[in-house]
Amino acid sequence: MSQFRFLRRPAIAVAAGVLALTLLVALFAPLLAAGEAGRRVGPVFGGPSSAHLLGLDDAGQDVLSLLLHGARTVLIVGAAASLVAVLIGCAVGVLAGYAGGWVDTVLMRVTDYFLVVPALPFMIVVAAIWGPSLDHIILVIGLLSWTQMARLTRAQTMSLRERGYIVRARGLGSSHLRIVTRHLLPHLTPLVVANAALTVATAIFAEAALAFLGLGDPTSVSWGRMIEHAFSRSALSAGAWWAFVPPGLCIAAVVVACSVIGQGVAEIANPQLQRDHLPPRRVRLRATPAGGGEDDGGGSESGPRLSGRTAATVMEES
Amino acid sequence: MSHLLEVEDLVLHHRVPRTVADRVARRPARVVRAVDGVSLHVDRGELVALVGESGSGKTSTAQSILGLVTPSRGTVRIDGSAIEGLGARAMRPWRRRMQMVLQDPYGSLDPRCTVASIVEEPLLIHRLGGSAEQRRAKAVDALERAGLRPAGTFLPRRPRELSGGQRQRVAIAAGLVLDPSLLIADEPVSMLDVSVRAGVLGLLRELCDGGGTGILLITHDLATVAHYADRLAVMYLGRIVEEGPPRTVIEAPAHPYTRALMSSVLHPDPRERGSRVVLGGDVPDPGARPDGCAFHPRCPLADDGCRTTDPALGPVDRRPAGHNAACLRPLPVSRTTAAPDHAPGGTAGTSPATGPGAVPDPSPGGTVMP
Repeated sequence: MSQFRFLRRPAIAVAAGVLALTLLVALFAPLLAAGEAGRRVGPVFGGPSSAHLLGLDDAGQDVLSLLLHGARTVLIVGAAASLVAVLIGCAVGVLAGYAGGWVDTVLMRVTDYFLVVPALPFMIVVAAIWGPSLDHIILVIGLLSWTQMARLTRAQTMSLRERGYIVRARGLGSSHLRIVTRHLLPHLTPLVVANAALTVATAIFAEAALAFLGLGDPTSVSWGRMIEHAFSRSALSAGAWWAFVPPGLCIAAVVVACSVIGQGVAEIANPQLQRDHLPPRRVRLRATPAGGGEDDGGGSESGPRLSGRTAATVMEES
Repeated sequence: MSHLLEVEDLVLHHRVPRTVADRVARRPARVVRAVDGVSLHVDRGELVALVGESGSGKTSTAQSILGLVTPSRGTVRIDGSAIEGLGARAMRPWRRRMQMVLQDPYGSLDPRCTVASIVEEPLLIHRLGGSAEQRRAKAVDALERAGLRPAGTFLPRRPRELSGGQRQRVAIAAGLVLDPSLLIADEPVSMLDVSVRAGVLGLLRELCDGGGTGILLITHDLATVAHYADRLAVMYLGRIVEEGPPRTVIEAPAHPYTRALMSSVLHPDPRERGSRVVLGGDVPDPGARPDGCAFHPRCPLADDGCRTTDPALGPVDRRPAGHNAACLRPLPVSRTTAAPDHAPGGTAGTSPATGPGAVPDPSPGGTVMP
């Protein structure tokens, strides 16, 4: 089970737990909250009670049931949009890095173009033109989130391209397709997985933002839409905190969990990213005893001293 | 009968892109002459060593032969057919006949592949080897020929589980599995411990003698290969400056550069110090090749003629046929260097040159005596 060794890190284990719980909830939402979502079960903005643990929303629906059902939309959008971004990003990045030359130049200019498009306004415009539907939201989020993936895979491809085993495969007369699928993509996988997890986080966040702006799919429940409803129907002034705090916390938890996992996988794949490898607190810079630096012949001072330098720094672990 | 491999006047120039400053100053584009007119040939069952410092163009020559880079000029022939500049498809049948072993056994094997899949990959690429069992049998055979016995125990392992020498043998086995007629080994031993070098080189020698494979061995270590090679070719700045049988090239080098390379070899006997010739400076920038003989700025013997005339590779006085050098002031055959008892590699360092016509002692800026 060495592939799952990263779960030993507490932060990653917690994040994985959060995601697993969300996934389970999304899978079993119909069982957990059978027939309760989308149905009026009590007074508008009814407070939390034993029957409705998280109270009721602006339409008298059970908030907990909506929350459970909303997990499905969130995960579908996150996974599907991230998949779109990974496919486009990998294709562009690997092609640009592997082919080089003008192909690289053209593809990277296109990537730069997508990189500078202001994402949220663009999404709003597209969602407004295409009409609000889950497919459109997935597509537009995916189309705007592949640039990072393309840049990362391109850089990694360019470095892998010069490795001995790829040069050897070329010398053997291996087809480009074979080189890419057999020798290149396997080495890109950790990077792609790490970045895909981060993309899921941004996709979920983007979906919530679109839904909050009223551009979400009106037929499906999502956490963003729950906040939007609470906001537009003045849950705030009604003091019904239970209508918007739980979905907000859920979004935050899932987004943070995805980021932590993405970061963790990236650090395991590339240990150089670990900044806490040598914590600065444990290394102290200490000036050597002053005064004796100028006269090289001296050396009568006590304490460590590097000759020929006025102030040398010595690293010591405290 | 044509040679197995024949390279004629091979040239590989890289244009260095001009910067904005270059364009403003109207400087012409710089050209790096990685390979600058190399001609050599390898016959069946022959081991030819191409020797030179880093940056002398050895690897570029190999890559041009293998079609990994497209040479600017010149021809590469295998059994008389020109193969340079062929497209990927037309090159495939030739790729089957020439295999390579790369310098770095740590980088040239995909860390994710098993030994079995590494050695069988050439068969898959060329759609040879028939069924999976036949491929496996060929892989086992190649591994055993490369000295990995019993081969079965190596098949499921991954490169990280092998030592450097074992990895290089896996790389050689992957080169052998197609039964190539030409093997190009680019520094196959430079990353290995001295203790396993002899084993790998001996293996290459056996392949020449037993299987009739022609090998082009690229190295910077003159002493190690001299023992195994049938012919030596010494490269400097993209050109061959001296070539011939190892014995005469090493015992009676005609080119001062060869002598300097030889004297850099450590001698096992500390009492026999010989005269060390230490070259000043580095290999010049191949983008700014000196006029005249390219070696003259570092040559202890250079005179005005060397600064203006570019010598061609040709026969030298009092050397056997086949021993050629590109030098206007070839070194004389020194009497004291004749030491037939010495093993050819490493031991026949140039002893102090004495007598008439001897090598003048270090000139300022060029050589330094020990």
